[in-house]
This record gives sequence, C-alpha cells and structure tokens, in this order.
Amino acid sequence: MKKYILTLILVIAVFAIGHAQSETTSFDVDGIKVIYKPTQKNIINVRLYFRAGVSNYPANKAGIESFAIEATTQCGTKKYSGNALRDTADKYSILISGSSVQDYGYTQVNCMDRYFNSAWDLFTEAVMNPVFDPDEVQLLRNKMITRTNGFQSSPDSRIDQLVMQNGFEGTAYATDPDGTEESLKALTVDELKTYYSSILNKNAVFLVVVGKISRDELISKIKASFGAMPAKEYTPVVYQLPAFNDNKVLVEKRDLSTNYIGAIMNSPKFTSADFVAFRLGMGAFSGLLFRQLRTNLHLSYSQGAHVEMLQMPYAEMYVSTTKPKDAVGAMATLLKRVKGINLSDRGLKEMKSGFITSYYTKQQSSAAITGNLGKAEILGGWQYEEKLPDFVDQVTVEQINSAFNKYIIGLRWSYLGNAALADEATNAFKQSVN
Amino acid sequence: MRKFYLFTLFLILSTAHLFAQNKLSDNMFLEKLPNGLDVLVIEDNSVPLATVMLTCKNGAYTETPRFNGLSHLYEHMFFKANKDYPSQEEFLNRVADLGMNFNGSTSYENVNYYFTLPSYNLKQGLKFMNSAIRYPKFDEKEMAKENVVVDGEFQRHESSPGFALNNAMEHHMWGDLYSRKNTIGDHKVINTATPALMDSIKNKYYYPNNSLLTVAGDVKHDEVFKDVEKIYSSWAASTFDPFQKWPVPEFKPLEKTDYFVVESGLSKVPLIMFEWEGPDTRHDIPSTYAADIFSYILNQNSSKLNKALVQSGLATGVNIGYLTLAHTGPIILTVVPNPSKIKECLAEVKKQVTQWDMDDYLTNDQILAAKLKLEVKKARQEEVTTDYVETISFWWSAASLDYLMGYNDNMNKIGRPELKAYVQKYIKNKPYCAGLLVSPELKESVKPQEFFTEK
Repeated sequence: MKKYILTLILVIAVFAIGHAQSETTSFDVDGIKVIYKPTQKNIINVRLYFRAGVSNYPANKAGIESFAIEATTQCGTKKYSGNALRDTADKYSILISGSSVQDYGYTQVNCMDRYFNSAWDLFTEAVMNPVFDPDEVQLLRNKMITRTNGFQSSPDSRIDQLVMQNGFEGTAYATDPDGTEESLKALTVDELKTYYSSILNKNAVFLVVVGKISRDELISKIKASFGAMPAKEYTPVVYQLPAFNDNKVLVEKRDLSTNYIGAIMNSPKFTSADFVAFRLGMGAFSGLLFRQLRTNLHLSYSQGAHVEMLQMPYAEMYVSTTKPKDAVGAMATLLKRVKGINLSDRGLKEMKSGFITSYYTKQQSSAAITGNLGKAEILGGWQYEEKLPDFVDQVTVEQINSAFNKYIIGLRWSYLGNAALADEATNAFKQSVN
Repeated sequence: MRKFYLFTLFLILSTAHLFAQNKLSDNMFLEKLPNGLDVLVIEDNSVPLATVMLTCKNGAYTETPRFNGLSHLYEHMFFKANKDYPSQEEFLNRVADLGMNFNGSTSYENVNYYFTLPSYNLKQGLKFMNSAIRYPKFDEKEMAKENVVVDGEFQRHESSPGFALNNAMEHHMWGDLYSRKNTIGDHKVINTATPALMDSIKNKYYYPNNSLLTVAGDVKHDEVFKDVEKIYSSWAASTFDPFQKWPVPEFKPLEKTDYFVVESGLSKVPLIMFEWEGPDTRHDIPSTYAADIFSYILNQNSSKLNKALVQSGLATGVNIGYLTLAHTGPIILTVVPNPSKIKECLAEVKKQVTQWDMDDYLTNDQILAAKLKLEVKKARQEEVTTDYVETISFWWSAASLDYLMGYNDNMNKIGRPELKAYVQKYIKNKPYCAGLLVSPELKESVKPQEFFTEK
C-alpha cells in the first residue's frame, strides 16, 4: 500500500509541474509589487489589492471601503463620466468592479485579450483619477443599500453575518464590510474621497495580473499609468486573535421552512506550520459530515466544513436542518470523534487526492487565479498558494491529529430560524468537543 | 419529436439560408455510438483534471403532477448505490478512492451528473459513471432517507426571499401545466415516492439514444473514444422515442394579462417581475437569437430602459433575460424598484415596454455591443472547463450542439428588423404576467393593490 501511495504522490507532483499554466513570478515596478502569471486562454484579469479592510476604519463607518472603491469604478473619472465609463465597458464587454472584504479591498478588470488596451485605460483611470460625482454616488448608495438589505434577507448570507458577529464581538471583524443601511446612508462624498486617498499608496497596494500578456508590455503599462501613485508610510495591522475555548450560542428568530446553523472554531494562521494539515483535515471532516448527517442520519440536505482564510482565521461547520437538536448533537459528537481517529494510509491518500481535485478546480479562470494569489499574498505570500499541492503531499496523519487537537477546543454556534427548536437544542449547543 | 424538429429545421434552412451545419471548435470532438449515445470530448490541459458528465433529456418538462419533483429525486438516487457499488458506503468509498468531486443538477429539460477527478483516473471514472447510470439501485429504505434530504433542499428554496414570487409566477404563467416548469416539485410527491416510480423514470428516459456523455479536461480524444466504446457500447438503445410515446404538452398562449401581489415577511427588498411566453428552439430558432441580443441591448448602461428606470432613481436595478428552451422559453423582466417610488416605477416600466419596437429605441452601437457581449460571454464560459460541460449539456438538450457551435455566426446575422419582429411577435401587446413581491410593512404603507394592475 505504501508503495502505491508513493507512486500516486509522485504522479500528482509530476502532473502539477507538467500542467501548470506557467510559472508565477513577482517583481517590482516603480515601487509597486506585481505578481504575474501568463496563461494561454483569451481572458485577462487584473486586480489591484489595497492592504486595508475592516481594521482600517471605525465600526460606525461600516462599508466605507467597499463604497469608496466601488465608486472609483462607477462614479466618474477625470477622463470618463460615470456613464462614459460604463458605456465603454459595455462596448468592449469589459467587466470592471471594486469591493472590499475583512482584510483588503480590490479593484479588478476582466476582458478579452484583444480589448486589453481599452480595459487598462478604464482600470487605471478608476484607480488614479476618480472624481466621485455626487449624483452618481447617490445612485450607487441606493444600489448598495438594496444589496445589503438583500444580504439580510437571504438566510445563507444572514447566518454568515451572525457567525462573524458572534465569533468576533469586540474585534474589527464584527464590522460588516458591506455596511448597513444606516451606515451607508450617513457616508458623505468627502468621506469617500478622503478614505480612498488614504489607501491609495504604493507601499500598501500590489497588482496581480493573469492572462495572455507579455511581461515587457505589462511593465511598460504599469510605469506609464501608476508612476504618479503616492508612496506613503504603511504600518501593517497587528491582529489579536480571539480564542474560542468554550461554547456560546447566538440565536436570531426567523420564520423559515428550515433552520440555518453555523459553528466556528480556532484555526492556525495561513503561514503557520500547522495550517496545511489543519486545512486538509477540515476538508476531510466536511466529507464525514456529509456521510453522517446526510446519508446516515438524513438530517440535512446541506452541511459541510471549511477553513476561512483570514488574518484572524477560523474553521466553520454548518448545516441547514429541521431537526436542530439532533443535527447539532451529531456534529459535536463527530467532531470530538474525529480528533481521536488514527487515519489509515489509504484514508490519507484519498484525502489528498480529493483535496488536489478541489484545488485545481479553482485554478481555471484568470479571475479565480488573481483571487487566489492575491488573497495568499495578503495573508503571507503568494508562493503559499502556488506551492499548496507540494505542501499537501508532505502532510502526515500525525500532523493532522496534532493540529485538530491543538485548535479545536470551543465552538461559537450561531442560529437562524425557529426559536423553540433552538431552545430544544440548548444542551446540544453546550456539548463539549474535548 | 425528433422528426418534427428536423422538419422544422429544414424549413428554416430552405427559407432563410441562415443556419448551416456548424463546425466544432478545434479542441472539441464528437462521435455517436451505434446505440445512439452522443459522445463529446473537449481537450483542455490547463489543469490536470478530467470531468465526466452524463446528461439525459429528462427534467420538469416530462413530469405530470403525479411525478412532480421525481426527476430531481432520481438524480439524488443516482449517487446512492448500484449493481457494482451496492451500498451508499461502497459508492462513497469509491468516490474517495478516485479523488472525485461529484454533483448533479435537474432543470427544466435535462438532468445531468458529473464527476471531476485527477485525469490519471479517467478510465476508472468512465467505468464508475457507467455503473451508476445503467444500474442504479432503488432500495426502499435508502429512498425513504433520501426523500427527506430532497425535501430539505426544497425547504432551503422556500426559505429564500425570492421563492414566493417565483413560485407564484410559475403558477400564473403555466396554470395546469405548472408541474412541467417546476423543477423542485411537490412535498407530498417527494415524500411518498417509491422505487417503482424511479424504475418508471429509468425505463422511459435513461437510454443512450436520449443521452450525451461529455468528457472534458486533460484528456486525449482518440483514447477517450476507444474507452467509451468499450465501456458503453453494450448499453442498449430504447426501441421508442419517449417524447413521442409520452409527449410534452404544448404550453397554451396566455389568454389575458395577469397582475398579482405576493406578500412575504422574508424579503426586505421589493421586486417587480414581468414574464412573457417567448420563442422555443422547435418552432422559431431565429427569434431565440433575437431574444438574446435584445436582452443584452436593454441590459446595457446606455439603454433607454436603464436610463428611464435606474439612472432616474426609480429603481436600483433592472434586468431582462430570455431562457432558451425547446418548450416555450420565458422572457423575464426583473426590476428592483425604489421602495418609495413603486407606483411611478411600474408606470415607467409599462411605458418603456410600449416603445420596445420603435425605430429609435435601439442604437446601432448597442446592437454591436450586445453581439460582442454574447461572444465574450461564451469565451468566459469556455475558460472554466469543469463548468463549461454543464453549459454544453444545457444547449444539447434545449437546442443542439450545432446550435451552440453556430451561435456566434448566426447571432451576427440578426439585425434591427429581426429584433423588431421578435418584440412584436412575443412581447408588445401580448398577454403577460406581472408580480410584485413586498414585505407586510411595505404593503401596508404603499397599498400596491390600488395600483399594481394592468390599467
């Protein structure tokens, strides 16, 4: 069996090298870090990342970063009015957008390679010369309020919000990067302009470019477009990770056909020696939840587990069910049992094989690749993403067991649905996983 | 049905000279086995994966009320057990052994099943698909468990804020034939389903000459064809055409325009939806292209519709789309009204629709941009091979692979007269259904029952 496993691992490694679209490289252009991956397909994706996020503004300004960055792509530039920018994007089928999440913001553009010059012009105008036209800002504000109300209405989005509120109370992550109706209504044009100026800084941004474009052409374009970007002092945020060492539950009542439940737990940081083993193990645990909750106990259609890769990372398991007491109890029991399992060689091989399939499935579009590389760079280095298959090859059963026992201690449960059924599950929510 | 379709196609060819046989892309290869199984191979070695998808012409359009939701339940049972992997445990062990991601989907006119796995396991994956599609096991106890799971999926649909409006719209649009457009089905039918009903579906639809096998990714087409021939040639073809034996009834034209209000405490965002009966690929292929182009014009920033609704502040979003189907594709206009201006927004929507066939409603630049957008959309779909197989599966069942391969060329032959004709044939002055989704609080304050009407 061992020989078979070794052969398979070698096959995986060879395939990884033989089929990589091409090598990713990194270099500096006029003080801006650039991560570049040439590919053969016709779609180019470029993202400018801002090292900022919810720790960069106070809670009462929730949504300011998303609003400001999206406004650069919607509310006019020195060269293009808001309408001219959108019309040009339509003319060449260019997708341009901006957004912000917990740890960073980004502006991105996506186009066919033959329209890259037009796309680059829109992108660089948005980044360097936004004007925040007040009428356009008001239209965008209304759209954002609709969107945030939509997130509140969707049970899948709402349970995610509750999970963050419950797990990260008292930290920056309790702030919703999309904002609230109240916070979005209060933000002024001047505040958006000032905030955007504060994050446009050569020392706090980097570019990720994936597509059919030569390195020389790219360097020339960056020099011409971003040379004038200000370079200011940048001090990275130091995060204090909350420790989930006991169980707590947050319940929000909503009259739904089923109930949405999530539980988060500690996770190693992205750059930790424990991270890959923990992430691999959590992927396998997700499969076990499927087997136990869905196929053995038929308690749910939707269940799973994953690691949320953030500066303050966490692992999460979730379920939607009409029987919360049974499902919560089964999840806690399974998690406790998994911590004591001594996985077989065959089990480890299967775990790795499935993980590699998922990894490559997410490496196909240029937009997915800029997203993966950029997130890894924010969290410690784009090379971690590129080398993940190699790291996975090296993980042992002992490393997975050790990581699970080290990090999985307490659970922060969040619940959206029938309050009486949540009451019935009170003891299940308290069930220890140690 | 197939004969009728071919005859229709012949008529179009002979009158318009528009739609010639189209060449597959350079990385695509198609063969038909003697038993009728269409086999399509797409080569893309950008990542070391292979995807195997089996698509069957089944789905909501084949369902009477007694069977409503059972194509979907069948899809779930495919992943439970079969002759070679006789228990759920053994099935899932093999999935893990091969490093597979798997899933399936049921829609109006097809059901598909796929496995994505490391490409060096492709041959085993083809065999695994063969076991699952040809020899499914419908164990009564396993079915009883899975009924609950499928109903759980239904409950998630019901919990989403848009479900109430969508479901009401389907009832208003399709009336007695609601089950033929309702993929998720009926709680009672799902919860009382038996193995005999599953067998009935299998014996009607699950044959090679009603299926498409797509193999895509880091594969070589000649090797795939050899393997597929060895594994699938013994799958016996049906001796009948299921769509002749159990015809899908034609959807009757709407008799009158129908306005309704849906109240739901689940949504904080009001929504207006207009729906018309659109063209289908059996009777009017040119209009299906016109429908796509027209939608992509109106969804542009510069369109009169967008200016009148979004840039005026009456709405925060507007979108129109047409779903290509073989059996009456719907044309759906969705508007997110400003909650304080719902009445004004509705009036403007009605006004806009009356102008859709006017000569100055569309510009030449907008027509060109729409065509380019559709071309680029296809390139974006092709970028992700593991997803593109599903796109192909959709077109194979709703139209044909030839339709998909000729899409860009044929779309480019559509001009202003065809767009105008499409609007006049399917939208302007035609009966439609219009629904408004509001929360109880908003309903109380805006009183939509006083103005959400045809007049």
